[in-house]
Amino acid sequence: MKKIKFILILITGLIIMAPQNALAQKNEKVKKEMKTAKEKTSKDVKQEAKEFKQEAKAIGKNEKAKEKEQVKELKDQEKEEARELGKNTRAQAKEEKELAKSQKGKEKKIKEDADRDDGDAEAEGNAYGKNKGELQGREFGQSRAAEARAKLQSHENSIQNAQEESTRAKSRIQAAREKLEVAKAEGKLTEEEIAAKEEKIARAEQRLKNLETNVAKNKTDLKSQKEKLKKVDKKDQ
Amino acid sequence: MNYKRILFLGIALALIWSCRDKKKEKAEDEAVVKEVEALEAEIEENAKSLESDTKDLKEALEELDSI
Repeated sequence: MKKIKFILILITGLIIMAPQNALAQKNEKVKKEMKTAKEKTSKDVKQEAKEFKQEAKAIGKNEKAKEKEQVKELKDQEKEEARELGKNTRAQAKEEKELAKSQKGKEKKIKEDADRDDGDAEAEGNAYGKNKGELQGREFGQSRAAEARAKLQSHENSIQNAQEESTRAKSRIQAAREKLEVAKAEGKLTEEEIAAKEEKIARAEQRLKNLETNVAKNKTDLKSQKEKLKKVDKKDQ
Repeated sequence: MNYKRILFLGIALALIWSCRDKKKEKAEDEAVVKEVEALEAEIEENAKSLESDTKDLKEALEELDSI
């Protein structure tokens, strides 16, 4: 009876431990990637330092001291970078994984979209539970988060572009106004022409104002969206 | 006879436990995906409005060139 109890406990223990072992294996993989990334960075740093040393030798004596200082600074910088990289390797490895997964997911999506276009008129719905392809649960969530991050990045760029556009527009509107003032002073234009041009300027100013308010709104939204994405990332981990 | 029952019970319990964990995990993952989708929709909407405003401004600026 004792033996049976022992076997029973052993079997239940094994069943419970099985998924945990899988998780541990995943963690080991991530650690291995981290190690390889660290080794790579340290090798790169050493190589660059060597190259700098050789260059420093080739240059004259007076310049040698300067070069040495530069090499030292570079070394320090690279060491710091290596440290930071060491800290961030895990995150980078994760991001790379997510990107790879998202690419896979995208390819799958495109294929599925093409299939849908061919004739399958299925009702559209949320992506969860659909179009997962090879990705499973958490991996799928991570790939979606990576996609959202990419979208957010491109949106940030477009906000910046819009801001640049608005500053350009400001100067152009100012130039147009000055031109109109000059034309008015010279008395070249009729009142109707002046009114039409002022209307154009006013319209441009109104649209500039709209864009500026939209940019400001988008900026505040962007902050909250980033925070939300961070929270999602934390949940995903 | 008893040990067989106990063994069966133990295995069943372990299976139920693991299934429950999986369900919980699945629900959490789905919630995350939902959140991300809502976020993406928001981003897309904002991007669209920004794009249309920029387009409007560009049109108005083109009109200004004739001044």
